Amino acid sequence: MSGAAVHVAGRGAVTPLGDGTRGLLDAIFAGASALRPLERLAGTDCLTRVAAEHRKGELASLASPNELPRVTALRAAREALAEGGEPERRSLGFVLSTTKGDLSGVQGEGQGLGNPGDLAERLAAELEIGGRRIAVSCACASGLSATALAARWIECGELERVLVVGVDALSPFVLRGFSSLLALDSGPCRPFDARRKGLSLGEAAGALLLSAEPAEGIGVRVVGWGESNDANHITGPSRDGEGLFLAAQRALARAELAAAGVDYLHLHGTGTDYNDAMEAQAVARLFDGPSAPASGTKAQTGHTLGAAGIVESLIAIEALRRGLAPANVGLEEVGVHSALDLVREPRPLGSARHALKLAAGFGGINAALVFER
Amino acid sequence: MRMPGTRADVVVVGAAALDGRGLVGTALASPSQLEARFGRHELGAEGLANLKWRDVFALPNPAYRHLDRFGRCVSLVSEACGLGSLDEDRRRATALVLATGYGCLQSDLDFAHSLLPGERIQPGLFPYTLPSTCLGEVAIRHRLQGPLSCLMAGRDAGGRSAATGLVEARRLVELGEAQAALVVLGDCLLPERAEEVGVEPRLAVAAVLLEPAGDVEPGILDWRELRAQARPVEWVLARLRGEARGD
Repeated sequence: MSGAAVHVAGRGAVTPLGDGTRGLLDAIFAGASALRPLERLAGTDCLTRVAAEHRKGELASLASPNELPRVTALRAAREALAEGGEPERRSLGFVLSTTKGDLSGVQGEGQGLGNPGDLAERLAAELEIGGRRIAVSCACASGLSATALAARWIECGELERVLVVGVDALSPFVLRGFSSLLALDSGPCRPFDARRKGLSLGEAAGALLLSAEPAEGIGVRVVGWGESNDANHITGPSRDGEGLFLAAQRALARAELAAAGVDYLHLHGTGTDYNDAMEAQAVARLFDGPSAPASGTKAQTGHTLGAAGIVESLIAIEALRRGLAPANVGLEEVGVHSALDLVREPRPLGSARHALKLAAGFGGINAALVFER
Repeated sequence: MRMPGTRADVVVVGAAALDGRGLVGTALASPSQLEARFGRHELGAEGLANLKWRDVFALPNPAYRHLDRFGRCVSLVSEACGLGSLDEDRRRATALVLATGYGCLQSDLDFAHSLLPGERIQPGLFPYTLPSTCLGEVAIRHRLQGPLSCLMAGRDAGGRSAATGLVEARRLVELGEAQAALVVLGDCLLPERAEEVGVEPRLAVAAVLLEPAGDVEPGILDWRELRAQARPVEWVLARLRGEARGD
């Protein structure tokens, strides 16, 4: 890295797994899952019976489910800002990662119109953030792309601190959309398993406060990022993993790190046949032998789309902090390239320093981040 | 090839834009090719959004007819600004940046409509309810494997979103994360759907192709002037039409 260092200074989360970041992380490392029978969206005409929904009780004060993205994003953002010591807001940058944001007006009453930029403006106003602000909508790679964008701003010395928030909420629009593509498992998803049948959806908000100044307590930096496109197919990943390999390779190059220096790998792992096979191919090519201990956690959180990259980065960061790789929940018989060292039970990582986080999405988008402890 | 971390300024080496009047671009055989084909009369928003690929380009594009309307606009301007001229190495490291106000609202509303009772769900439309998907189509056609980003800064008519898109695309080139960048700016929301949700219809899309300043001759549009525009899409349209008519 040639510019300013990019430190993780604050974290926030609102997930169906537990209260705040602590609730999320404790549940992940305990092997819990938020995939449950549909509750709020029960009755939606779709090919699954499960998802990771926010519990109904938490919605009691909301006038409409369309308010979920704004409310959960605010809560995650405030948690991250609090952990980061309540930084001055006038010069704070803000990047929102989401696929659909607030769909009011597209489904139900309202003027959200599924516009990520509009939601970013409203969130920044409510958080009294006065610095540069933008929404990134790069399908399921949005969270990592948003983090890379924020990291560039800091690395270039243009901003001291940037708050990155990822959010998406479940809706009939999203459930029926994925269902129409036959992408959903009817039960809980089983990423990388030989019997995987598709993904399970989830909803969440996650936040990362990034800073040019070292932060007390967390002790993790973003040291590499890379993005690429498959240039192969709109909804299907390239079979040989070329695009994701390129993104990971670029992230490692920016971090000035060889693949052998990666101590932990957090995977995209959607549970679809093609994604998981592609990801394993990309990792096999990257490591040229057995990979670092690897896990995917969508069997616990569901696929939270625009929030996934942030929520899963929180998990990757925590794996470095705890020196522990979480297990691949639901994995029984490995059904992908054997080079992928899939963790069956939580595995000690020793004095792990580097974690690589991967993501991919519709449109052939791939992204990767490298965290350093 | 520059390594990440080294800086380079950029120049505009190709540009194209479309609106209800037609498509203009530096890589079209005649910059006013489309206007010539249809006569100088205005096509109107619906007419342009429904254009067939062969109306504009000789080289077939089998994917074009499957694209949503915004995707067709993005595809047209991307082709018309000269992406095809990039060599293989540069394609592998060409970034795609879309900066838009409405994004894929047209497709969101079309897909939501298909979910209504009595309507037939359109699975093929669902991927286009992500604003970045249309960039993937461009990447496939031209084998572009650089970073890809979709940026949105509120619903303003291209101003702040566009400015951010231009700056971030330049940053990718400056930092060596990309060797070239295609920046697509603008929106496609047709009158029927716009009226449904009470917003202004909008059809204006532009694309500019950026390369490092040291690698090429002076650009066909002035980068600094472009960056200073409050409405860059309209500026690109005006500049290209002005050149086409010898103004």
